[in-house]
Amino acid sequence: MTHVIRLRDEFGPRLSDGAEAYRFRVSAIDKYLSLPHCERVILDFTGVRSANSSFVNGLVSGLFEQHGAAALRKLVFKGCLPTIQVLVQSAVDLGMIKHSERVS
Amino acid sequence: MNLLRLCDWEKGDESSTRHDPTGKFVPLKQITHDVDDLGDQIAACIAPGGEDYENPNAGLYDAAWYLVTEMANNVHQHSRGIGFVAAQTTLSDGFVRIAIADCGLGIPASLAGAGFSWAQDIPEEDAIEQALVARVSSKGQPSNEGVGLTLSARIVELMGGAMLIASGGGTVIRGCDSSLTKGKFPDGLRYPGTLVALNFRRSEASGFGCKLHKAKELENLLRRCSNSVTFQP
Repeated sequence: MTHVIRLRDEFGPRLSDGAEAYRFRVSAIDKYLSLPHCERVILDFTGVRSANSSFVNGLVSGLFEQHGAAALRKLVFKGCLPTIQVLVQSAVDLGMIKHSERVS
Repeated sequence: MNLLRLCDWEKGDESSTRHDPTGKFVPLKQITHDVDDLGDQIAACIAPGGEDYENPNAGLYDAAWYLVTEMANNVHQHSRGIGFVAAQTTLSDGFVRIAIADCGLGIPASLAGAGFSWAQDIPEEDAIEQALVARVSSKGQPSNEGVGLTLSARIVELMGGAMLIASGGGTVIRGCDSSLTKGKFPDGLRYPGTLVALNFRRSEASGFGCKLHKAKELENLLRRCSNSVTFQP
């Protein structure tokens, strides 16, 4: 099973509110990463023009802090503009750093 | 700053010419909960056409949108106050200027209220300095990692600009050479909220994505061997 989340449909073309992103992550993404029969979760950024660090960290970092490498295997980031790709990469790194801090 | 129009002065003799504000300045705006649209309005005025990613002004639009939304988020989430933002760009010196002020708790009180033991008795300018450190946030967990102000200051620096932060009785100026100048308001004066005023060179904003990447590197927010994230077109 693949679950696709179209962020443009959920939030519009500009993503800035980190608290809103956090709430969405907890309510609409976390559960799919825990489901054994869900092999892929696609976060589709197609049509998103702008995002800031607060939003992307709120959406992405916690997934990797909680699920670690399992999130790397399951999550796919689709349709990211280059600037958004930078934000996603650093949010993943931050989450993985925090995951390793939790484990150790 | 379009003062006459804002004061509803539409008639009478004028010895000056009213110019189209597009691309020059943004009238004072109150920070509402809709930070996305606020950022878009200001960025579109500073960088006309930049909403289109293929436009030559796209980098400038991205830089302005990023800085305004991160600062405006702080007004809502950290200071819990009413805020205002204004922006101006001048072709003569090539700088963009953005100022955000709120009448909230202020940075020192916000950090002290978050329960950080180190924030209880330090000078206010030192508390402001700490707010510039990555992953220090008055929100605690869950947070969006406390990097908004940190990255904004670093990006401004990489775009040849400077940032002034005034809050409580303290001030911090971060220069374009990473220098940090801390001070106090004279005569015990205080501003209970927070003022952030920044400038940067328009010409340096075109490579905003690279500046953002560099800022994250400098703040140790990217791993040397980054994790293999799966991106699809």
